[in-house]
Parts: sequence; C-alpha cells; structure tokens
Amino acid sequence: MKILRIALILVLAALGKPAVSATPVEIAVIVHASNPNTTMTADDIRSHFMKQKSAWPNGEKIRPVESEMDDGARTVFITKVLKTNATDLERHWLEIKYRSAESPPKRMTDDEGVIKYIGAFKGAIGFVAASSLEKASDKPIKVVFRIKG
Amino acid sequence: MFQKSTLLRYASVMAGVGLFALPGVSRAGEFETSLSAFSDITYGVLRGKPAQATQGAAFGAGGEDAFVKNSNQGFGLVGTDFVLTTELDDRFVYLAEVNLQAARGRKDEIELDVERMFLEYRILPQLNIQAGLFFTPIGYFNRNLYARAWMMISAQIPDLFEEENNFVPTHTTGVHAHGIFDLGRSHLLKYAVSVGNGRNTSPDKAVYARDDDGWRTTTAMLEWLVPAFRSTTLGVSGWYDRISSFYIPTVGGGDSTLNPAAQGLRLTEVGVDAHLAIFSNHVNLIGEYLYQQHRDRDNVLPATERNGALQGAFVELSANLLSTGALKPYVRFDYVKLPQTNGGPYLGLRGDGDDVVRVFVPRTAMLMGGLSYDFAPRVRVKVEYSEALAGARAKHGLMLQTAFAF
Repeated sequence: MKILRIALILVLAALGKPAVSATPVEIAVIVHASNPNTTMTADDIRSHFMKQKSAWPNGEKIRPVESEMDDGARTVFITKVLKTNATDLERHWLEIKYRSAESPPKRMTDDEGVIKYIGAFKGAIGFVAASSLEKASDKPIKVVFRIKG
Repeated sequence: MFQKSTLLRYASVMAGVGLFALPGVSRAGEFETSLSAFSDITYGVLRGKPAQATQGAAFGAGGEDAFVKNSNQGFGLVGTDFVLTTELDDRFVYLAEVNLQAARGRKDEIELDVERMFLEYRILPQLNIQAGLFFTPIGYFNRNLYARAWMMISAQIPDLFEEENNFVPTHTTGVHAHGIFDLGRSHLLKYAVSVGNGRNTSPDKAVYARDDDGWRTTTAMLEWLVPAFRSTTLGVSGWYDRISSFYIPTVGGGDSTLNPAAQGLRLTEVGVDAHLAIFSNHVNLIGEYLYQQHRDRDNVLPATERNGALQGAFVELSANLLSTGALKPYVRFDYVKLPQTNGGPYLGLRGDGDDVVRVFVPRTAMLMGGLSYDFAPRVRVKVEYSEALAGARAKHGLMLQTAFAF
C-alpha cells in the first residue's frame, strides 16, 4: 500500500504543473525609449525575444536580455508571455544558435543590469519585476507590456 | 582506430577552431565567438531477413558497402558536429561546422566532413545574404534537423535526407539569400533563394569549388509561419539543375572520367518539396513529401530509364508527456521510391578518384515507433523499434541513442 502511495505521489508530481510562487509577481517588458513600439502583444514579444525576427521595424538589431536571477519574474515571463517552459527555452536557444548562428539573450546579474543594458542599446528588449522600475525613472527605457503571474 | 592522416587533419582543424573559440573573446562586449557541439552514440540490433528478398539479393551482389547505409548494428559513433559562430560586427556573422563521424555503411572509418561554412551579411530582416557552403533550402528536415539527433525526436536520420545516400542535394556551395516578412497578426512569411554549384558527375561528390559544367543550380523556398499552437509552419520548395555525368549501363560497371570514349550523360534535375510542421503543447507533427525527376536531355538512356522519378516522404507524429513534455512517444514513417528498382542511372553512380562506377541502391519503406526522453535540456535518450516494409534492410531493428549538445 505504501509503495502504491509513493508511486501515486511520483506520478502526480510528474504530471503536475511546475511550482509557481504563491505571491503574484507583476512583470514589465521594457524596450529602449527610442523603440517605435509603444505597446506590444505577448505574441509580438515572443517573436522578437525568441528571435523569430532579427530586427525591429526601424532596422535596429533585436537584442534580448534577461536576468540571471531565476526568480518568479522569469517564470511568469517564460510561461505567460513566451508560452513555453525553461527546458524548452534552453533548447530553443541552442537550436537557433545551430540553425541560424543567432546568439542567446545577454544575461545580467539582476534587474538593474537589464535596465542599464536596455538603456544602452536601441534594439534591446527584456523583462524585469515591475517593482524594479521604481528606481529607473531616469533611464531611457519604456514599458510596452505588463502582466501579473 | 583512426588513420594517422585523419587524426592529424582532425587535430589541426580543432586547433584552428579552438584558437577562434577562446572564451571571452569579444569586441566592445557585444561581438562574440562561440563554439558549441552536438553528438550522439547509438546501439543497434538488426534481426530477420531483408524486407524484400529481391532487393536484399541485389544489394548483396551490387551494393556499395557490406551494410545498408544508415542502418545500425552494434555500437556506433554517428558523429560529433562542432559549430563555430562569430559575429564580426552587427551585420556580419561567420559560421563553420565540421563533423567528425563514422562513415555510414563502414566498420572502421572515421571521416571529417565540412557541413557548413559561410559568411552572412544581415542587411534587413527581409534580406540576408550568405556566401559559402550551406544547407540547400529544401523542405523542413534538411534545413532544421539535418542529422542532428539531439534536435530530432526520433532516432534515425531519414534515408531521404541522409547525406551519404545523396538522393537529394542537401548542401550547396554558392550564394543564399533569405529573409522574413511580417504579414500582420503574427503571421510571418519566410523565403530563401540560392544559386550554387550543382550536382557533380556522381551524386556522392560535392562540388566545393571549380564547378565546370557551365551551369549553376537554383533553389527557392517559401514558408508560412502561422500563429497557431506553439509553432506551425507550412512550406514549399523546389530546385532546378543540369547535370553532366556518364552513362554506365549496368550495376557493377564503371568507366574512367578521363576516357574520351566514355559515354556522356546530360540530365535535367527538377525537384519539389512540401512540408508541414506543427508543435503544440501536447502533440507534434512533421510531414514532408518530395518529388524529384531526372530527364535525359540527349536520349542516351534506354527508354525505360529516360525519365526517372524519386518520391520520398517522412511523417513523424509525437506526443509531449509529463509536465515539461520531456517524455515523447512517437511513430514515424519513412519512404523512398527510387527511379528504377536498382536506383537509376544517376543516383546509383559513385565516384572513385577519376573513375565512376554504378552500384545498386535499395529503396526504403520503414515504420518506426519509439520513446524519447529529455534527461536534461541538453541530453536526450531514445529507444526506437523499426520495421522495414521494403528494401534491403533487415526486417526488424532496435536502436538506442544518447544525443547531447554542449
């Protein structure tokens, strides 16, 4: 009986959804202030961030960037905006490197680094916890999408 | 064991690649050079008689090797691909891919193969130009999965696109323009056009340089990316080439390309391909159909061989199980019908120095079922059972594969 219970728990764990933080996290997708987009849909963000497109409408090279911190914001972005999971996303970056010689996103140590990078490069796009924007009012960035997880 | 010359070649190439790929090499922190690789190790078991006795007997008498190419028995090193990419600046990217692999159909040979080597100039999203050696923009498998076990869900490379079968011109040396157009509402249209050195005297000899037949092959591809499921692509492609070759009337026969009395053969090759690939959260489907025709331009061939057609298909259906989709059961069907029962007057030719010989090439019809599991994002293991329905392969096959990337 005990073995059956353990087996059932293992099966449910395997079939279950990945754990998500209980506290809702709001994330903001940000681009450089000069970016022609004022708002973007999740599909638009997906095609730009995952490099299905290589450049913005103004010809600027798309430069995705993300934080190395594997916190709730990243999970929300991957599952709700990119509509994938962390494993498939890692596979995606390896695959497009082989197929199209495209680089994966730049990885910054934290949200502050992401904001600095996006402020420095006109083609950059990334996501941060919405709370991180409080200290970024002087940076040349703009929010094009928000979502709560 | 490796031959000494092969080892020396490998060592020098890898030393060169390594020098370019020193970690941290970058300019202004933006232009990066990286080296990545993917590889797989297999174990295969074949049981039973050839699926078709006549094909098995003909292969035994006139096949190129002792074993059907792309069949697996015992342990096998299918190969390791090393991919070097470097951004020269915002618009120029260089890619070089070399493959160290066990020769298909052989027991004891390791060969070094250049898969891709091109410089790409990224002008606009709608226009990028590559010059060098690239995958011919035909269909889905050849462009996206080509011999990459780690990316494939199923294990075996389809015979239709196996480079060493040379049924289809999988690689081209030349110029390749490609781009993507935004059709609105998240619909995208991809295109690719290439012009390059075409087929050689025999299909197994790539033309890296000095294409002297006075003709360049052209290929065009259109692909519609539909915002349905996780990704949906629907595409058509086609190519046209003129081939200068030799007529070898019988399997087992041969001639010297330097012999002024050798019977020349001028062919026109036309191919079309249609593909559909759907990846969803639960089910994935890849389907591809290819038709290729060879036409004798001078009526040198007997009437029965004058207009030969190859038909090929590849269909794979898989499901994504577990919360991450890491476990994928699948079924697959492979089909290659050759111009004649022996492979035809061109696809059966093999180059050997200055000589060209004609061998028997078996057809393919195979049903496969298997299970693929991602132990980690970079490690995929598979077990696959195959049942040969036609051709010279043994009736039953079992294959284990570990595929990984780094």
